[in-house]
Amino acid sequence: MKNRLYHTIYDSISSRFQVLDIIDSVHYDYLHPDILEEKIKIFENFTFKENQRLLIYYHDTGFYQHANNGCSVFFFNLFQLFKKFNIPAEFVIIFTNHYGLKNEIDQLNSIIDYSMTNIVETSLWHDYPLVNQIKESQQHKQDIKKTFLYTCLNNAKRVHRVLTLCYLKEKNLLEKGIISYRFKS
Amino acid sequence: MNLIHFPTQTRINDVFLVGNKRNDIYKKHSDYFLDSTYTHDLASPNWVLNQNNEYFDDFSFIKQSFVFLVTETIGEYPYPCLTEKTWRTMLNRMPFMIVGGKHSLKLLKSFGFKTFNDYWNEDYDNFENLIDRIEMVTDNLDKLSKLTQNDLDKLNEKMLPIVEHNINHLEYFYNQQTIDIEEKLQNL
Repeated sequence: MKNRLYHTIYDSISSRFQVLDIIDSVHYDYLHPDILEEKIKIFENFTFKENQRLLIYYHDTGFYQHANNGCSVFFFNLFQLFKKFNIPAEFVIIFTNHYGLKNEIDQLNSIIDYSMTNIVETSLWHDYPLVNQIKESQQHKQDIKKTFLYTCLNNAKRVHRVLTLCYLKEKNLLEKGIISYRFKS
Repeated sequence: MNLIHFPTQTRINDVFLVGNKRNDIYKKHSDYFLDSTYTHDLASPNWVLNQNNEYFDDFSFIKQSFVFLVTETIGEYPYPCLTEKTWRTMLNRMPFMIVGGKHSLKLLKSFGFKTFNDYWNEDYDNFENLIDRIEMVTDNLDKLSKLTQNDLDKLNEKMLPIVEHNINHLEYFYNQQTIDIEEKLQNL
């Protein structure tokens, strides 16, 4: 599996713990929860050794539903499955780039009666620039003529991206920008 | 309790807009964008090699614009989530506005990065409602669009210390985060 954390961070984790598995939210958030259930069921009543951990990567994810008090559907399902299959929370670590997830987890702990506390909020994911990339960019100052007002690059279709483009169109700003979008199904 | 099945269709159509009374602009223009793909001629990134002979995207074309309008991965969250879209902007010494979760700018400032509240209205960062945030961001752009090229160039000149600070701070922030995570891991 492609490791989504910054490589030095993952090295540090794996030097401390035996990582049994990584559950990456981007693989499950919009799929049927049965697939997530299959994944968690492997650890049903598993006896964890002291240094063994399951890692949860929660990034680029999170689609809300009012029915479950505004909490992430992924975690709502995951915590229920952890309870169902007797996965002790102390052997699970959540890594996330969603700064605020701790509050959401606290809320879920009380709704589902679980006790997840191992949450690491960090920006160091695979998409953070490499140090040598930063150094290289620092050295390359180019005085480029700015002929466009803005750039707005949109990859996958998300409501805030569609809406932003709609507002840009409404204000006749589309022509003034370098834009892209890939919303074709 | 039962598991929740959240279908792909819901993710795309968005409960948020369907039930929102302020969806008039979305209704008016969304058909123009939905189910289509467009890439500006300049926006096809080149692959370039870095010092480790690893390939990465070269987004230097974005420097041909005055400001980067970041449409982050998550927009409707009540809290921020930052990804390469924001880091790439700083790496290319670009001023930016962010359409993302509430308090994205506040979070960046707490990390030691600088933003552009001296040059346009960043109150949008505090707005609860996504539509309000988008409205103010595009209002900002609209106001900038009324400036002459000369005025924009002058404004750009004034913002150089901020973008320079940000690119330099990326490495410091990396080191800071590394120490922070090491400490956290020790306590887990």
